Amino acid sequence: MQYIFAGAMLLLYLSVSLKCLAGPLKVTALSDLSFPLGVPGDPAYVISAGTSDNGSNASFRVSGNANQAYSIVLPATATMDFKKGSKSDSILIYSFVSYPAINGVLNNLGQADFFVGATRDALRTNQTAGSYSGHFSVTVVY
Amino acid sequence: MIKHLNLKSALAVSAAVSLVAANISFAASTTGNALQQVIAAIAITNTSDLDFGSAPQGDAQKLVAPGSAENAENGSFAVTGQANTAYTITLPADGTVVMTTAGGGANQTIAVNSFTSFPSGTGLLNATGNQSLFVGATRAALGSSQAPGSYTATYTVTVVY
Repeated sequence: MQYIFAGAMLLLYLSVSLKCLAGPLKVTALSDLSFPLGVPGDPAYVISAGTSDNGSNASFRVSGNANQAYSIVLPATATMDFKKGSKSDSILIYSFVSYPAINGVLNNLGQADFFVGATRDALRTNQTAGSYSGHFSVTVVY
Repeated sequence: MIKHLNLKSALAVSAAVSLVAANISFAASTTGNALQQVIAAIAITNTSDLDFGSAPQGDAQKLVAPGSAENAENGSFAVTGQANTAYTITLPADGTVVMTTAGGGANQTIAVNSFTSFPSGTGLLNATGNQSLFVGATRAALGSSQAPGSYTATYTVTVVY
């Protein structure tokens, strides 16, 4: 009898443990960080994190365990580049911010969205005209 | 005795599993895109003066039309910037441009009002990012005691995307 009980306890613990391990953490980009039209000489431009998707900020969806707390790790800097023929140029992005800032909690469906803003460096007076694009990496951690 | 050992080891195993679970953290990353469109700065350069010519004292007001090409009277400007891009033209408001001669005292001023341009209001840079802009205006009537002389003033035309 004791033997069966011990086995049941083991299974119970294992199932509880496995539940903790279930639901792999995943983050998906929903929208781009999109700076407005600029001309050479423009000052630095700040896109705030916002509190919802607004066409400027970048949006991400996190999925994982229900009610799980998570942390957001943002890059320090990123660059947007332009290259066409012999012309190339780049623009620095820095001061990344997010909403929520650093710590978020997944809802009871195991999902949460977070929003990212950043500052685009001032455009040089000889900044090459063109379409610049770049990538930045965001990480979420349980 | 054997049963008792099994219970102990079962608990030990489950405790170990729980400990592992508590220490495991998960991380996931993705890449976001950042986008910026930079267009060439807009610039405007004056290429010819708005010239009302010569007139006697007491002459009626004179209108110089903007025309659609450079001529001897209209003011001409070269606008440069981003190809195929529209821009807005702002001309001087009435009452802001007064030509003067000598010290600009009594009978030494002539107002210039009703500025017009071609294109009017909004311009569009061509495929090479250029457009010519022509400006006209109306010179006020000259007084019967208008001081003879050369009258000049500067006026500002502003172009903005």
